[in-house]
Amino acid sequence: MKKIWKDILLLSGILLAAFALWLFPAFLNKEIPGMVRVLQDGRTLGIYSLTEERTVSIPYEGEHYNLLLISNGAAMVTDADCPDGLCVHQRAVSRRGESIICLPHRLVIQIESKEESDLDAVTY
Amino acid sequence: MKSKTAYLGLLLAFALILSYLETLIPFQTGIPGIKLGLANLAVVLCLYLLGWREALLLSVVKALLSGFMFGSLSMIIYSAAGAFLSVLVMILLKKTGWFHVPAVSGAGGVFHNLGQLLIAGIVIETYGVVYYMPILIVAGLVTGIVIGIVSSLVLPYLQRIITKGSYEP
Repeated sequence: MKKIWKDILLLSGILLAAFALWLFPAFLNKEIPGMVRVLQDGRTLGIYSLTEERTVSIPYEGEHYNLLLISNGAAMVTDADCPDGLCVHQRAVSRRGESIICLPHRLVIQIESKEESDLDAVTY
Repeated sequence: MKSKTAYLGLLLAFALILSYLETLIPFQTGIPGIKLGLANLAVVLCLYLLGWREALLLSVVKALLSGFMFGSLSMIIYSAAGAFLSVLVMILLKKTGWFHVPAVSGAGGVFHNLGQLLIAGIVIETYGVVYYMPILIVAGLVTGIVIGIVSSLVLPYLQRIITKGSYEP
């Protein structure tokens, strides 16, 4: 007669593996940070990682500018000399698809994921 | 055993009926890939009644036929991979001789889901499927164990029918 403890060992091992995989994405998440894409007039001026702290000055027609601050995994416009200043008042963006737009300076700052699927949709 | 082919055909028909039954039962979890996996019952029975070659054949043919009849092409790819991996694991676990039917079947259920997910991950090219893994492992384990318990209850009777022609001891 076979003993049941081997069965229990196998099944609890599988459950343990499931638990480990459940914890795993928490670490995985931090390793796939988003990217910030800066577009002016539809042209990409630069792509920056959300993990690096930096400020980027984006010039517009010589004397005008927007100041982009990337810190703590989020991007925001801290200063600009556009007429309405709406971009400065917008809250920081960090998630994929979020964007800050400055219409007078024709500027779009959007968050992208480094890892993105090439497919639009998948059925099971 | 005289009529192995006939029993194999019966088990395949049983598997396909169970696959069809499964499409009738409204069991929606909202998570793609979670199924009751009733058809695995036929594969487990085949593994213990007829042998590992027959079980391998049955599970792959079952995945192909049920995919053509009740599913789509992508479903065939996923479920054939899952079925193949699952039956491979069950064969190996049975060969060790350490485990009872429910444990073997439970592991088979888990690896059925893992095989599907692996192929899905390769096809979609994303690590996102990793998030599903724990849920699918637990779901596969539960349904697999239940199927294993049912199998272990039915197996003695079927064995007697095959060897003696009567289910009475």
